[in-house]
Amino acid sequence: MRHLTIRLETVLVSVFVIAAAACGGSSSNTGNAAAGPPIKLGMIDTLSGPTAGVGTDGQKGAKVAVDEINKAGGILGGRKFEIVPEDEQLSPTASVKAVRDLSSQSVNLLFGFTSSSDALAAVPVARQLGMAVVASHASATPLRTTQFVPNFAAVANSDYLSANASPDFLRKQFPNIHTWNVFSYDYLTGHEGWNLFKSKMKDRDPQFTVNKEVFIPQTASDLTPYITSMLGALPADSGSSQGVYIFLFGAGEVNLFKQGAPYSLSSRFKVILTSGGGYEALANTLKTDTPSSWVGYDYSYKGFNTTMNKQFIKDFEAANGGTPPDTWAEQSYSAVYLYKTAIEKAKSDDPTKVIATFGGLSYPTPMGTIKLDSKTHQAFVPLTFTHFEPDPTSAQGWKESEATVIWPPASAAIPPSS
Amino acid sequence: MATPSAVRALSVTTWRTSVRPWLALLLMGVAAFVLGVFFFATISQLYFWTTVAETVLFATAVNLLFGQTGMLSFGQAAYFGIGAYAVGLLVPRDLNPLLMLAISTLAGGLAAVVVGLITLRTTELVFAMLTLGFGMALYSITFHVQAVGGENGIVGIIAPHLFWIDLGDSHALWVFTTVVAGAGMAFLWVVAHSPFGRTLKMIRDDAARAENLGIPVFRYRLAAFTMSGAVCGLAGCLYAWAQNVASPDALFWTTSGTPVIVSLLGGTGFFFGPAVGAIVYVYATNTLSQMTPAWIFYVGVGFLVVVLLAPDGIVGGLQRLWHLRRRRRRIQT
Amino acid sequence: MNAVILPLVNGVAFAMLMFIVASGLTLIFGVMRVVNFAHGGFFALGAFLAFTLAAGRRLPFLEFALAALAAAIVCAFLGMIAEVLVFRRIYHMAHSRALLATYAVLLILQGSLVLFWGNNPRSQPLPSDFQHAVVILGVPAASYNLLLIGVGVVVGLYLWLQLTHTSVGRMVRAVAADRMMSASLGINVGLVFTGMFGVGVFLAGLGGALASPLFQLDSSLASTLVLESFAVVLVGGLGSVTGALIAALILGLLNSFLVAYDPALADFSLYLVMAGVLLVRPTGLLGPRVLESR
Repeated sequence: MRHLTIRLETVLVSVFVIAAAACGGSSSNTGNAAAGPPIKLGMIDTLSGPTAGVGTDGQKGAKVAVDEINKAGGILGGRKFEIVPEDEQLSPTASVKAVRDLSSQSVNLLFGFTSSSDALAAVPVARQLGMAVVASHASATPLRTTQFVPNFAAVANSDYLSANASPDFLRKQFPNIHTWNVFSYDYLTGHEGWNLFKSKMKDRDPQFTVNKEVFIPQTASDLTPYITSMLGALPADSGSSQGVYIFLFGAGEVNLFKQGAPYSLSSRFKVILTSGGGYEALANTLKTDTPSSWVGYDYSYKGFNTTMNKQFIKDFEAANGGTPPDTWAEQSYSAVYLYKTAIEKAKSDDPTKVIATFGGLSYPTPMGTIKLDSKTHQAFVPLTFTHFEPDPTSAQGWKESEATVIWPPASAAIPPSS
Repeated sequence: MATPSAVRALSVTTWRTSVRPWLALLLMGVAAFVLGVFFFATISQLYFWTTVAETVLFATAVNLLFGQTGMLSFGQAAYFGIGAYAVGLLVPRDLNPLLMLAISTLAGGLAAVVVGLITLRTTELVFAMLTLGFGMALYSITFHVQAVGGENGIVGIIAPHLFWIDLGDSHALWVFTTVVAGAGMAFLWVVAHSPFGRTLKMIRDDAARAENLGIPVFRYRLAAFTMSGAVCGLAGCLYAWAQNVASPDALFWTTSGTPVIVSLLGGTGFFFGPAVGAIVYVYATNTLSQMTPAWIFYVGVGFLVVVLLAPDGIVGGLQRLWHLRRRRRRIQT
Repeated sequence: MNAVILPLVNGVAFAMLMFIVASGLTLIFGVMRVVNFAHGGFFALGAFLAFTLAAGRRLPFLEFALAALAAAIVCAFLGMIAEVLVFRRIYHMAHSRALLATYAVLLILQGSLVLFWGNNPRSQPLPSDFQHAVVILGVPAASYNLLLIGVGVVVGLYLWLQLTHTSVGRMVRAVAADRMMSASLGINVGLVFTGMFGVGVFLAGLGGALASPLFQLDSSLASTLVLESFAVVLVGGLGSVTGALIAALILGLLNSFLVAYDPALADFSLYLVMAGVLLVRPTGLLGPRVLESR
């Protein structure tokens, strides 16, 4: 009976393996190469899971750009743009797989990436396959410095560039706040970002001091101990004299405010500053519990008066039921226009030729004409500081009351040597 | 660790003439498949199947522990991850890939010995939690350590040259991975069907009785745990080359859970159960995740169907169907 | 003083939340010898149901409590259906087969969250009477945390009294100790199984509903507190409700105080306690137990 068992097992498995092989490999559609008119742009972004808002908003923005360009006659003598989306799934391995899937479909011009970890994993693979990558959201400094490769360009702000903007903004808007605290995830990007902030603030404000630094492990769900740790270090007048920088994102940032609400955490600081996009998602989640806070990130639709921005807002609202575009949408919109400019300059959609135009390229965005740095391919973008406030009178429960745009100094374009 | 009797126990069982033709058929089928993919697959398909190969090896290594020895470890990702990170750290040294494979395997095995010595004297569930705890502790540590890239892990891991062959090329890597995974599977096969493997099954079925019969249960378990950890490290090395990245995700407890689930799906009582389960699982999740954001729901339903209809796993279910047909045929004649 | 009171209050509050969830898990194991991997799914479901029943509004305490109870009851119903349809068939299986079944139910629950509530995260506000902090010995403590402590104590007492001082409890303990003997004594074992599974899942759902004002509600909620609940159950001793309470308190307080005094260690405190207790006493602090029997 045992012989039979082994024999059966191996037969069944052999048949199974061959059958599986016959069914084919990965499930991505193996369409033909874009030899015909449409120029395909591959979009790798999170389309599922808790951060799906980033990818879907980015997709909406990209679509607006593609529709505008196609309506205006397309590129390279009438060829139309087409977006091929792939789900990043907030996983480095899924991102790498997405890059390869797109390569198999001969889609060699990519943009996107919610997470810097995913971008860092995918960019070397894209380079190996000769594909161009434009980061629309990922901001980690190493992508521009130690891990830089020529096929990479970024329309999104980078941490080292934006590190200057926050101190400049604070000196302008809140000149009397000299003492700062921080809530950050306990990870490298958080530590580096906070250290950058501290050094730039010290440069500009001789009275700058740090009061309390609280680093939270990413796996922590109960944030109350960390909140009380901060509260215990705050003097009674911190609500008028101190600020806090929040280096959290997603559920952690929401949970911080939720679990801090009984202690009136937000009122214990004169200024709550956070960076990173997608604050609209937090505001939509918290509604009237949204704290009065300032968010520094690339774009706010209220911050710019350019013709392109007006057109962008108009087209976006028309296609999305009156909702104005957020920063994710603007970044992907700009990425598409970057490719348009690069392809027109290279007079070809061949990725090698397109990549060659990246250094020093100027392209149009709703924020104005932006130039890519010749060495790091980093877009010289401003940081927009938007004031979010709870608004019980509105249906959504919150509003963006004001926005200030801060352009970094020219010296900021030089990346840190590492 | 290896006593003279253990060494003797590892000797290969005599091949029965009834097994050989079917195994040969399987090997030929796999070889044909490898060549087929080599010549006809697109880049992404190549990497898809490379990932499947490494998942099959990982799952089978975990099943040596789980199905054969009856020890549920929820922390095999630790050795898998150690193997992957070892490769990542060694990239600048441009070593011979065979040497890198050996180092990953050794690293996995060593870590397993250490953890095994501490945790193996506990009961089933406690052992599962402790191994999980060790894996998660390792996960937490990587976030703080700059040298292993923190939350980003080590990126840009490209397989080196094996003599004149560039393993960074997807085709070369595919063949290399299947050969190495095949060697790993062969090793696990030999272990599973040897007297040592049979003793593991005895320990799984009734450890107290085995102890009474004079079998040093702890030593056997430690040996199995070490072997499993070593092959998991090997799988981790292949994983790092296929994915070009070693990230903390590789150490998370869900990475440990997948080979267990996959083994149950395919059938823990069969050597190729995990392999079948791995192929079905990777295929299903790949296809479904592109169809709907609620794909987890359908994967769960699928698992439930398998558990209720085929409690011995897919291979077990197929086997029963086969027996049923034979019996029906016999009744008809 | 506030360096002790705040971590104490907050540690106990979080411990109570863990206890409520873990007690359900340990009851299910105690009676049916099943490790319910789907427990986290019911926790998340309870939270989402409470949110939907409350329509995401800030409710007065009584209405919030009703919503929480209703959410827990719905979870219990769904749990009992799952027990009859799925779990009944796996009791005779080895532990490992049952693993896949409960894991499948977990995936189904997680998928349902996305299916019915979508990907956008939600937030349930604290009940209106418990929005603020009360001052204890000069130190502010969130009143909702005090509520959690109260609920945890009530749940713990109720479970203990039921198990040790009522005939129903005696019946449950009998089934937990020896199901065949109980069956031959005329006890309807199947009913006890279904009922106790319902109770266990009710506790998970209740924990989720109570936790809903504290966390962003998204699909990852199913994995929140999972590791902690399992750690509590094992450290406390499988099948012991009292053990779960003690273990929860140890873990909650340790984490709370470590964050205040040595944050670097806090990340690992869970694994350290687990390893520390289980290596010395593998059956857990109060295990092995047939529920609360001696």
